[in-house]
Amino acid sequence: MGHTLGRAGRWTLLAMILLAGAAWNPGEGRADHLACHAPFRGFDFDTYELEDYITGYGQAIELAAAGKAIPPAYTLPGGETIDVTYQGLESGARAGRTSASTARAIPPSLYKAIAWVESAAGAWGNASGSVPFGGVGATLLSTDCGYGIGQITSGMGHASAPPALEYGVPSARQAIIGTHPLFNIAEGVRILADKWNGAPNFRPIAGNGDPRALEDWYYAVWSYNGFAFSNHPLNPGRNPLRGDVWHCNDKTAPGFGTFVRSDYTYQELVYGCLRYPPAKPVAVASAQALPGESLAAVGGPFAVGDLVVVTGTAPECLKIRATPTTDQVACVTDGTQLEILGGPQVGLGLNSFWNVKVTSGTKKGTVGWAADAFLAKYVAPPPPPVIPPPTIPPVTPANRYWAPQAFVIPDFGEASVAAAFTPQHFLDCQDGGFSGGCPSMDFPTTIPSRGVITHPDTTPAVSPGLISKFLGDPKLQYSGPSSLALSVTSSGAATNGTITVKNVGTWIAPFRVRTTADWIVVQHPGDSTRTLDGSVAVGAETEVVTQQATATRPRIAHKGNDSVLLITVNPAFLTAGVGRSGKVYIEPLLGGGNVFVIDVTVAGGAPPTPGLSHRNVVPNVASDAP
Amino acid sequence: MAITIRSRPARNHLQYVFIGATVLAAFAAVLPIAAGVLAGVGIHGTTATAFASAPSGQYVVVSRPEDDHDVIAVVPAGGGDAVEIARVPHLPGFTASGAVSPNGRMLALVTVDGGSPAHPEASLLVLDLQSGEQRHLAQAVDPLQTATWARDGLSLVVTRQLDAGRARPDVRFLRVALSGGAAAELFDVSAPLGAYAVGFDTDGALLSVSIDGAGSHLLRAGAKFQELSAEITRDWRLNADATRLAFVEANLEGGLRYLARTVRVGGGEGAVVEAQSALTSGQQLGAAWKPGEDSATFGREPGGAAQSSEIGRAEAQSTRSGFDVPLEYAPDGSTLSVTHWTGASYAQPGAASLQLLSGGNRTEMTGFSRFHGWATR
Repeated sequence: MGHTLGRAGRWTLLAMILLAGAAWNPGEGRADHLACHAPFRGFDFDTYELEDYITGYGQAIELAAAGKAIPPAYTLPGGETIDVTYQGLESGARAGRTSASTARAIPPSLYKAIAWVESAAGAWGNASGSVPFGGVGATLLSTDCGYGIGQITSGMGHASAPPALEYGVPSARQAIIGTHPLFNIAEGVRILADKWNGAPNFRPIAGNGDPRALEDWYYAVWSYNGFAFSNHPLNPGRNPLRGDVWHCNDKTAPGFGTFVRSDYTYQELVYGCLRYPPAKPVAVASAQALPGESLAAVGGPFAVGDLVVVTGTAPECLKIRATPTTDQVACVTDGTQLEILGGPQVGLGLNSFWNVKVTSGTKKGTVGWAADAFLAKYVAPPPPPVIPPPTIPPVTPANRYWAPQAFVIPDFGEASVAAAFTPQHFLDCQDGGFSGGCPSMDFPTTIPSRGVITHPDTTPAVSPGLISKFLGDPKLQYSGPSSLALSVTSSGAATNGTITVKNVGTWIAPFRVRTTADWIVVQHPGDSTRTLDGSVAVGAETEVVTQQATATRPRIAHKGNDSVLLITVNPAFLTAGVGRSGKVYIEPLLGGGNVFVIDVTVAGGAPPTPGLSHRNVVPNVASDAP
Repeated sequence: MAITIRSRPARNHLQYVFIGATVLAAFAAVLPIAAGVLAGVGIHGTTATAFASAPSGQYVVVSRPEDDHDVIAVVPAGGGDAVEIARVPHLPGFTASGAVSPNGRMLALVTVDGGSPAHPEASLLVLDLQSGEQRHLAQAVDPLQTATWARDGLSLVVTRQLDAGRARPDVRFLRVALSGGAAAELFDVSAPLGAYAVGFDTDGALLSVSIDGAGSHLLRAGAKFQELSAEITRDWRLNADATRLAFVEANLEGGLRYLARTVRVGGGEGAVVEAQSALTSGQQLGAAWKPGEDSATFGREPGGAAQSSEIGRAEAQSTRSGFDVPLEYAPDGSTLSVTHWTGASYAQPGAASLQLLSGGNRTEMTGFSRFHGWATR
């Protein structure tokens, strides 16, 4: 971004918009409803949206939360360093806090819930809603310039350097966070870890500061959204009978039908989705179905010897393949029991496959490979309860994005907990700028007299082998001219040239696009609405969806995805007498490949106008003609 | 948190942006003039809702939040079908809070219609219950508030956070005329935890509550008037002649308890608290004043204190199957609207429903979960 509008043009437009706002209602200050302080906008990034997004993003979050998602800091040929490495977590109570260790992980379900609450689109997605799952397109960008599934805003500013490389030009770090879903998730996890590590010097501590305890993340989650009174659980604007957490749109959860999302504090939203994980969208599942491989219900990871059941394939069946990449040897229906013999391995469509043996039904004894997405752990009927039912009814785990987690929200019936939330303590904390860490707001999360204990995340340890799945081995290759001589007619029409960026390696190859002149515009052919700052090319081993299946139309996909860049001229920013040549840099952000440089020159366009070298002539609006 | 941007203006079509901005500026410049002309005509357009031709009587104004809009309706107090009035859009997952005008014909709504879920921005709009016409009166107001009508129904008070980027911004009270025009700045409260309009006294002075580190204070015309509590308070309700204020204190001593309180509000400068009544056990939520009576009605948690004149009337107390939280009496005092909960305690409240209590009978307002006030036809 930033190369389409000259600096003077930006301020002119800003002044006009402010003038319009003032004229609208002179007596009122109006909020800025435009994205990222008009006329500036966020960077224009592309990304690849995982097709098996529920399993895929879940695994990516598990990797990132364990600090295993991405490589150590690395330096690009141009000298920029990309560092999105996990900083680790501190641990312990206020007295006796130990320094950060990367061996300590963030509870992955907690960040899954945060990503769900943040993405707000009703599904995990790194791309904008117009991009099909499995497709390539614009990265999700919020009105306040939050990028991707993690809605990353911190460090993504574009008006100064750093964090931008220069005015309006993303740094390599910003570009990879904006284009690659794994890096986006990793950055979100880093931010949450920062909030955790803010204690005890700049944030209060919940419980013993044990990062394994879901309850002890209360203040870190609060801080992720802003440590404001609007998120204070006793805020008088919120109904005290709303329940301890949001129902996360679970129709079986308390409060559904009476309360809505905005009735809850941010912590209650996140913890609510932790307890009541969102249900998988059945319609989406069937829409993305491959024949006999419709989408999963629960998925792995499984261990050898686990019993699993087939689910989510009706009215079709689940193919049992000889190998993860070959044709079926059998097809088994929902409810069929299987035993896990090994796996997982990456197979067709980049799905995870498990080596299984059929243990029930007509195909009993068949051995082969089955897609993870349609397997759910067999859950034995629970034994009869020996203690009174819990206060919070158990949550049915089937068909959810992640396993429901148990925890206890701060119990204000306990004096030591309630005391932490007095207005004076909160005010003291804010007035002190959190300096000193607000010890008066510390509260216990283990209260033996009330039977209150902490709870860990029950998500199994993630397999480090998945890292290669999410990083791949990308390598960029280019086709197209390394120099372009463009021209602009007197009517303002400009010629153009095309560069094709291909990933001859595997998976996602993110790259940055930057130009040295405002008048050079890089877009995708047929899409003049965006001026690219970064994009991705997808390797040929990966299917890229261009049309998502619905009840009336089939899924259409092709192998790999080249990124086609159209380089042209915006004559409005041709400054008379100067700057008729420039460069376009296409720079790999991960993996192999060289920087590709295109020299661009332009002929024609705006005539020289002595004494007005700073002016911008807007076609069809303004003119220097007599 | 975010709202996905699915279409954005073309950056290389700057000319269109300039044209748009110019048109916008021109439109904005003439808007106040147009608004003035329209104000002379009034807001009663040629359309009418079914409410406009409904039988005369008392109605409850309610709503049902749906994903990206609220369905606003009126329900006859004496029973009958709900009449849909309008659908008010908002960000997905949000809902509007409403207050019915003193004459029962207009509904003021604070609704989140801008920003993002992480940084919501709210507007004040008014809905004519008989014509269904909606008008925006103010933007960038606090989302977590209900507008307060002036006694004459010609203006409303809302709050706006100043410099919302600060950890604890100042809160500005604004008076917005129903006829439109710029909002008048009443006063600012410096860096409170929260500040909320409560109502107007008989002299026309705005009564509001400010919460800070010292607890809750009643303000009169922006000046501290009397202490209410050392705690966070809520559910503030003035009686008809604004001489008494009922509210609930979130008492944190020894664990959270919601406690009913009433306080006498003096009519002039220097007035002091006459009485502050409290229950000694149990918990209470919600407050309402029955017209013509001196004691407020509070909802009581089952198993709490015995009935007391301090806590008002029996119909808003616990029932055999749950408990009630009072909302507001009908203007003639014949009916009390409540939220009925099926559970046995505030910790386990169960399921909620809006109900009308009248003469020992209960009527459930099925399909609606938000109460905004009483309307008359």
